[in-house]
Amino acid sequence: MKKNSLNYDDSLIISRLQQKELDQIKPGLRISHSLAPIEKVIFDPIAYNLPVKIKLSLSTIGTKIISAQIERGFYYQELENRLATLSYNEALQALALLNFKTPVFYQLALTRAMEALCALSTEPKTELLRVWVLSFARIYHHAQVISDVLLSLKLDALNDLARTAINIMKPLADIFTRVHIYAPEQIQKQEIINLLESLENIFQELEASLNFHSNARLILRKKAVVTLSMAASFGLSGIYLRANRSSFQRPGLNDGPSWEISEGGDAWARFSLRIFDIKSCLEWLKKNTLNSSLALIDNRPLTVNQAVHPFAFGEVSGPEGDIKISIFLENTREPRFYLRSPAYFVAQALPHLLAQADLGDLPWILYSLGISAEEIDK
Amino acid sequence: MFTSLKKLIDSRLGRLIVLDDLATPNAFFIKISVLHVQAAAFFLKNDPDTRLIMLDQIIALKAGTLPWPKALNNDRLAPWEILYQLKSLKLPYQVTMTLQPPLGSLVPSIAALFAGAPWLEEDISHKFGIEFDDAGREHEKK
Repeated sequence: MKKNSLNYDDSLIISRLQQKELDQIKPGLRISHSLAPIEKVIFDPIAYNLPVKIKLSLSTIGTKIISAQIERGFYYQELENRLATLSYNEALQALALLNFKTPVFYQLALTRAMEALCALSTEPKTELLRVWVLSFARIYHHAQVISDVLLSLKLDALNDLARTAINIMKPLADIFTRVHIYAPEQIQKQEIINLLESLENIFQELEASLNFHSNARLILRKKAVVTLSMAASFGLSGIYLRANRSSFQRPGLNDGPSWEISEGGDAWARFSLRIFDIKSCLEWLKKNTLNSSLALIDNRPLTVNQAVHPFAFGEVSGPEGDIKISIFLENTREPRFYLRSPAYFVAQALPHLLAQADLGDLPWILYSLGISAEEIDK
Repeated sequence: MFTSLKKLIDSRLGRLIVLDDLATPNAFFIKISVLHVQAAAFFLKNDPDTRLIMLDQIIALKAGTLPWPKALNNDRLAPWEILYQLKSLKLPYQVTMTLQPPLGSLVPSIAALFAGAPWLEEDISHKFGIEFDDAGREHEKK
């Protein structure tokens, strides 16, 4: 399926509000930082002659989908094998290939697994910074999914709003959605606060517009239903559980959402939760401002030779579910890596989600799942 | 919450199911007899004391990687251990059920209990040549 490839240049944005937001943000977006990018590694699946095919086949009667099948190419099984031969820094780069937009979730899962393996402690300051970056990346990811869903629903005005949010986040997203080794330099906090306030305004407007726009709700309701038992059985976590009002993984949701989330784990419930997630993250980010130092990881070689334990797990709660990297040292020295990607489990559940759906519902069902193709193919 | 998973399963299902157990700060491991893997998975998923209803991962490792207290050196066993990581939705713990199949034998599939199992089992087959008995899936297809 072809993804949205529209480029939203500043010149294309004509809405008064959007222009105002951009004006607010643009002058302050020159954040002073010096990046020391981690060394590049070439990991090209085509160069290694790996199968990269993902195929979705549908059987239909008229416009009704009777059954669906998904085929994989076992691409990232090879990535798991390859991780054992790469250095830590190279592995961070290779993991970025799984999700180009927000690779920080995978990268920090690896970092946590390596640190657990080597029994290295992290300073609370660094841990807080990691949560800050993960929250920012979560907003960026959800904004992309929301924009895709709105585009598939042909709600152009609302999609423009979501795109504006993405556009104004972009300069910072290049920094805050991936792991770099940063030189500790001054970051202009005021610029970040301005950005967060602008994002808050945009998402408030988006939420208000959606509340009045019953069309999106009507279309997404009762579509792609994932019940609690189904989610657990398929290994789906994150919003799939929360959409069923599971108390699992919802530490910040005690007050409950400010607007209606339908019960039963349908596409609308998950869509609403994304907006709610963005609001919660923005609130948290505003309360916890960044430190001047931006060192997400230590600038020192981390290898499995420093391992203290025979195995370790690194887990990060991603926007679509748990991302986990397990490292086991076989015969005490040879590392074996296992990756747990939420998209893999969503893809496995896809035939169940699409069965009995209408062909016309396909775009928003697929977009509302928030998965990217490169993450599926294990 | 249980203190010893082995004791819990021993008391409910008998002493032949769990061969060994291992507790680490972040996870419980139990070694299951290959014949009873479905019964053990069913118990862990449905017992009110455990309620491990989420299948997190199925992975395979070289035998001997995990430091089991009772090491099994049997030539008739495959050189691989299969690990099933299960999670509870209510309590923050995970249990890893492991088994070491006999050489050349089929491993019973848990696809009938966990809908997420088929791809994970397929991956293990693809990577390590361990064959799973997919009678459950054949039944699904019919």
